[in-house]
Amino acid sequence: MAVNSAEISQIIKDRIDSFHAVAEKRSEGTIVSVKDGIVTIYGLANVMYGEMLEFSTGEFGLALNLERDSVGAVVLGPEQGIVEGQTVKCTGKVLSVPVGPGLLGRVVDALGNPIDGKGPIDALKTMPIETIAPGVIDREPVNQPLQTGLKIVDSLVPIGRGQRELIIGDRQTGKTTVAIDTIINQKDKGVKCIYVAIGQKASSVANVVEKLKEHDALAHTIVVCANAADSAALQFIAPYVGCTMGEYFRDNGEDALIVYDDLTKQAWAYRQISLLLRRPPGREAYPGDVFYIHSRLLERAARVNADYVEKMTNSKVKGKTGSLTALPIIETQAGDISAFVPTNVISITDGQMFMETGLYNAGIRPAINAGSSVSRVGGAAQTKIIKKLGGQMLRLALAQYRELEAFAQFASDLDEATRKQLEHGQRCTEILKQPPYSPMSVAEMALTLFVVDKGFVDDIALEKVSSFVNELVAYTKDKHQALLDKINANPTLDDEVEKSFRDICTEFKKTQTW
Amino acid sequence: MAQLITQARPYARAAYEHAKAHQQVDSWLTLLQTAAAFMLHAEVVNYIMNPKVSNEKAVTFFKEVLANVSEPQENFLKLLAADKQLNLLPDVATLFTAMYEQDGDIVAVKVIAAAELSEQQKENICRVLETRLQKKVKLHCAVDSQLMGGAVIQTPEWVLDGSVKGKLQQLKTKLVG
Repeated sequence: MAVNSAEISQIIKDRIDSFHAVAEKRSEGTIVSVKDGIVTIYGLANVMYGEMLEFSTGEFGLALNLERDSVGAVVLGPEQGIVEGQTVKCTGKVLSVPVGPGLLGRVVDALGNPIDGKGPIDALKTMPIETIAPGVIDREPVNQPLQTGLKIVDSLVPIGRGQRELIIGDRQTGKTTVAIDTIINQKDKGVKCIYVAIGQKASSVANVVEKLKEHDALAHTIVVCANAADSAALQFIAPYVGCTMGEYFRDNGEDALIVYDDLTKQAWAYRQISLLLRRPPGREAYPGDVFYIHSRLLERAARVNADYVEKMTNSKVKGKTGSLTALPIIETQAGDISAFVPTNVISITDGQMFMETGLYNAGIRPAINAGSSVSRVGGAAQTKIIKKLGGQMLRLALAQYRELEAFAQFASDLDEATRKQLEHGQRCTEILKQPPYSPMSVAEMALTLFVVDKGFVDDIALEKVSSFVNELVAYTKDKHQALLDKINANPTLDDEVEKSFRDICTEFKKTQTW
Repeated sequence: MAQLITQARPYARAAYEHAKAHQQVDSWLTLLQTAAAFMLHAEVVNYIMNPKVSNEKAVTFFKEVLANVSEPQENFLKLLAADKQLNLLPDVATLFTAMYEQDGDIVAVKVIAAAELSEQQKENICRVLETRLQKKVKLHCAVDSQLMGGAVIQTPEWVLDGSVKGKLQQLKTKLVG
C-alpha cells in the first residue's frame, strides 16, 4: 500500500485538529515490589478485579489480587524497565482483545497483536476475555455433527457442534495431530477454527502453522500463541483470549472450533502466578480454583439457540444457531490420568479420547484407545450412515477383540468362532488406522466401514487390508464420484446406497488382484 | 511498605482511639508526625533498630528529642520498642493522620504545579475542590518544572492531570496509537 507523505501529514493534521486536550482524571498507584512478573502496587484506590493497568514503560498488567493495602498484578509482557517507585495507572477497562473475521488466517499473541508480519489486524471490535458462559435458556442441544475426518473418532467417539471433547495422552502420542486433522477437515465446511498454543516451543507452533498452510487450512483458522518463552500471565490468559475470538463466531450464528493445546501448561502457568501471589497451595501445589479456571473456560464452548444469536446480534442474524466446539488437550505424565488436572478436565468435558503410547508404538495411529474413549453427547449428533455402519457394532467388535487379544498367539489352538472374532477384530483395528493430515469425507468413511462390516475384507490377508481399503476408496473416487457426492449431501444408509456399495466392492475385487 | 502498613494499622487504631477518648488527638498527631519525620533519617533508624541499643535507650531517645511526651505516649513507644516495631512509626503516623482527617471530614490534597502558586490560586483551588469533594481540603503544594504548565491534583482516591506534560502524553497516544 503506497501512501505519500502529503497524505500522512494530512492524517496527522486531522488527528491533531480533532484532539481535545482535557484534564485527565485517573487512579494512580506506586509500585512497591517487582518479582517474577508479579508487581505489588500501593494505591490504586478504585481498581477493579481483572482490570488492565498501564505501567509507565507502556506495558500492561492485570490486577489479580485486591488486598487492603496493596494490589497484586501480573505483567503482560516483558518486565524489563518496571522498577519500584514507578507510577501505575488504572485504565478503567477489563482486559479485551480484538475479534472478528479479520483475524482468520492470522497468527496472534495472547493479547491479540499480530505476530505473523502481515500488518495490522482489521478487527471489528474488542471483547472482554472473561465473560460468563451462556445460560440454560440460551442453549440448544448438541445434535449437529462436527466431522473430524478421522475414521476412529467419527465412528466411535463422534463429536457434535458445541461439544467439549478432551484429547488426553502422554507426550508424543499424536494429540496435536488429531486436533490439526480436525482443523484441516473443516476446510470449506464453514466452521471457523481457533488453535491456541499454550507454553509450547515456538518451533512446534511454527510447524503447526506450516502444516495448516500446506493443507490450505490457515485461511479459516486463527492461531493464538503464548509460547514457552512468554510470561506465565500470557500463558494463563491465552485460552480465554482464543475463546473470546471463538465466541464472536458463536454469537453471530456461525460454527467455530477451538483447540486448547494444552491446558496442562495453562494450569502450570496459573500455579506459578498463584504461588507468587502467595495464594495458598492445595493438591499438587495447584491453587484452590484450578478446577474453576478450566470449568469456566470450557463452559463457554456451547451450542446456542437462534433467540440468543438474535439477541446478541441485535436482530441482524435471525433463525441461526451458533456453536463453539472445544477440543482441549491434556498431557499426562506416564499415562497417569488420575493426576489432579486430568481428572478435573475429564469430569468437565463431554467425553475424552485416550491416546496411548503402546498403541502409537505398535503402529496403530491415531493411537486412540477405543475402549476407554467416550463421547457423552456426540451420539445424538453422529451422521446416520456412520452410526449404522460403525457405531455400536464396531465398538463391540473391538471390545471382544481386546478380550481375546491375549490369546492371539495361540491362534492355531482356538476354535473356529473365536478365531473368526479375533480376525475380525484385527481387521477392524487395521481399517481404523489413518495417516496424519489426510481426513476423509463421510462417504469415504462409510465405504471403508461398510467393507469391514459386511465382511468384504475377511478373505484379504491382514497386512494387505489397509492398502486394499485405500485402493478401493481411490477406485470409487475415480469411477463413482457421483455416488460419494450424493452420500456426502445426504448421509443416510438406504437400500440403494447399500446395493451400490456392494456392487462397487464386488466389481473392485473382480477387476483387481487381491 | 504494603506489609508494614498492615502491621502498623492496629497500633495506629489503638493510639487514635485512646487519643480520641482522652481528647488529645492534636498532641498525639504532633508526636507521631515528628517521630515519623525523625525516622526519615537513616542515622536515627540505624540507631533505633540496632540490636545493641536496648529498648529503654530507644524510648529515652524519643523522649529526649520529642518534647512533652505524656505517660500514655511513652507507654505506646515502649510497647512498640518491646515488639521491635519502632520502624513502623512512619506508617503509624500516616494511618493516624488518615483517621484524623477522615473523622474531621478533611481530605489531604497534593497539588503539583509547574510554577509556584500564588495565595489567590491556592484559595481558588481549595474552594473548587471543597465544593466538589464536599470536605474540608488541606492543600500541600509542590513545584515540578517538568510539567511545563498547568497542574496535577492528587487526592487519595484519584489524580487529576491538567498539566501540559500530561496533555502532550495524551496527544502522543492519540497520534501513535
